[in-house]
Amino acid sequence: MKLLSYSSLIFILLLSSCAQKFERQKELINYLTNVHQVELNNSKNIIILQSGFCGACTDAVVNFVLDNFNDLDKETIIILTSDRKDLVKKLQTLGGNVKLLVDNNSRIAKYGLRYSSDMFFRMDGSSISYWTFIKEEKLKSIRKHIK
Amino acid sequence: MLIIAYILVISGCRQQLNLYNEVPTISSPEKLEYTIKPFQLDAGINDTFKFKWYSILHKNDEDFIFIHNLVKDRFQIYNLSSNTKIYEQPRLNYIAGSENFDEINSVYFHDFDSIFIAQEYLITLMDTSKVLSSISINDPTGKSKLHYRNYDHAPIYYDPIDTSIQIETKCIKCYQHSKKFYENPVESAINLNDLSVSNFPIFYSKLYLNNYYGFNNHVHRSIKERTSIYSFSMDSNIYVFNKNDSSINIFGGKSQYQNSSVQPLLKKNKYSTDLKFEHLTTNPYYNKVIFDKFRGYYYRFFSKEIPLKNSDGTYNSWGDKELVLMIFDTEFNLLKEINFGQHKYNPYRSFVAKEGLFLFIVGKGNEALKFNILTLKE
Repeated sequence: MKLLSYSSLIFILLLSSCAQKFERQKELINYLTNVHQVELNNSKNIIILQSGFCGACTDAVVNFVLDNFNDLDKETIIILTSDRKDLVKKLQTLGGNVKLLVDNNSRIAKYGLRYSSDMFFRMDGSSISYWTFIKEEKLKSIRKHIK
Repeated sequence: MLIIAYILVISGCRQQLNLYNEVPTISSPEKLEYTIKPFQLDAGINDTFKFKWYSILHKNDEDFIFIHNLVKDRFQIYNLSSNTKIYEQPRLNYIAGSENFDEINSVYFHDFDSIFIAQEYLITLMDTSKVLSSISINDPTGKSKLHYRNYDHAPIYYDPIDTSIQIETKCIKCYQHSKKFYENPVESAINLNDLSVSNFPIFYSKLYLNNYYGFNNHVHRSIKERTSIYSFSMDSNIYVFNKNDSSINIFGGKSQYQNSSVQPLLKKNKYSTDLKFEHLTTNPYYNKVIFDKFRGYYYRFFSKEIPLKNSDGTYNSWGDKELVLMIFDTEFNLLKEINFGQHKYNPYRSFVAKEGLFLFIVGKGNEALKFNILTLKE
């Protein structure tokens, strides 16, 4: 009985340690390939900054991106969901393997990817190995996955 | 046994109190004919608009619009009848505060010598050259239960008869997912002479007491003389409060385009902004009611329910909802409905003027103000 409860506990711990599956993975891949012609043949970081959403894309998030994605060898694609000139200017300063894309026509909404928070995805080919909303409590975890 | 009986009686009474009654809509279809005419505000070369707050004044047989133009942060007045700009001043000449802190949340254009500007803690009265006076509102320490401000859908209104400002009211000590939040008055009047506040006996639709509807809890209010017309975003009923005798009349205002009732949202999703937005998008939504004093009709905007996902796999968002214009007579008999379809007009920036219903054309960026004027034929 005791053994059973220990194994249940381990099972629960294992489950909770796994990242939650992103339920719109198919939509994300279609969006990246159809709208931005992103080739998903290697591992890369994808950041979606919901600049068209009031309350998202705060200074804290932008500074996090500027501090942590500069001069990375790993390919990083940053998508702005609206053409905010101030953000484009800031993010263009990022060196390394960074590509900045702007969703001028709000196509992201049609793919069901307009969320109220900014998002980080670690892609391995066309599968998501890690994803999270970019929030204060997740920054440490994101740092572990970006290189 | 007695205790059980007592509980049953009490709970029965509570159920009774929260009983919602959808008033049947009286439909009297009339062959109303209308014309549509384009109108573009003449902003001058290279000038652009970005605005949220505006107010309309009808005076000497002409219409004027007061705009807080966020581009270069200016107050502007346009004569709609002659399509000319007649006034422009920097906002900072009159009203302090940055765009983010203490931003303007409502304006009311009563006359050229009485323009009211509302901020979180201040209502300022100005004319076109100077500030005339200001009054403090709301307790900055946050100790008061009720908070007075326009939460986007019920702009302030000045009633010259009792010299009061009507202003939307919310309980800031209550969670929006709790029943208590919806047991509070939705509007109050601040008397400008003695600063006393009287809460109107108008409360949220009883539907909110029975279920949680997330972001679908907007209060729309418009004015017809001394009556205030309230429309709750998920309730088809229209509530009319008469300040003269404090009477409240409820009318049916259901659109024939509404095919499903608003579905409650599970309370476990109360902190999920995304789910609340999806719920708002997919469910029916009743917008503001406007009185057309020139022709004697009420207009109400209704946004149809829409599936989250289409059969081709694409998703819908708020802007994809079909917009319907409902036209009522003065007794709220529904005369006609016009389905404008998707992506055409923005009801928030649509208003009535002498020429008709100015329907704000949805566009992108800071382009000029473009309308289609809908005029019902007499």
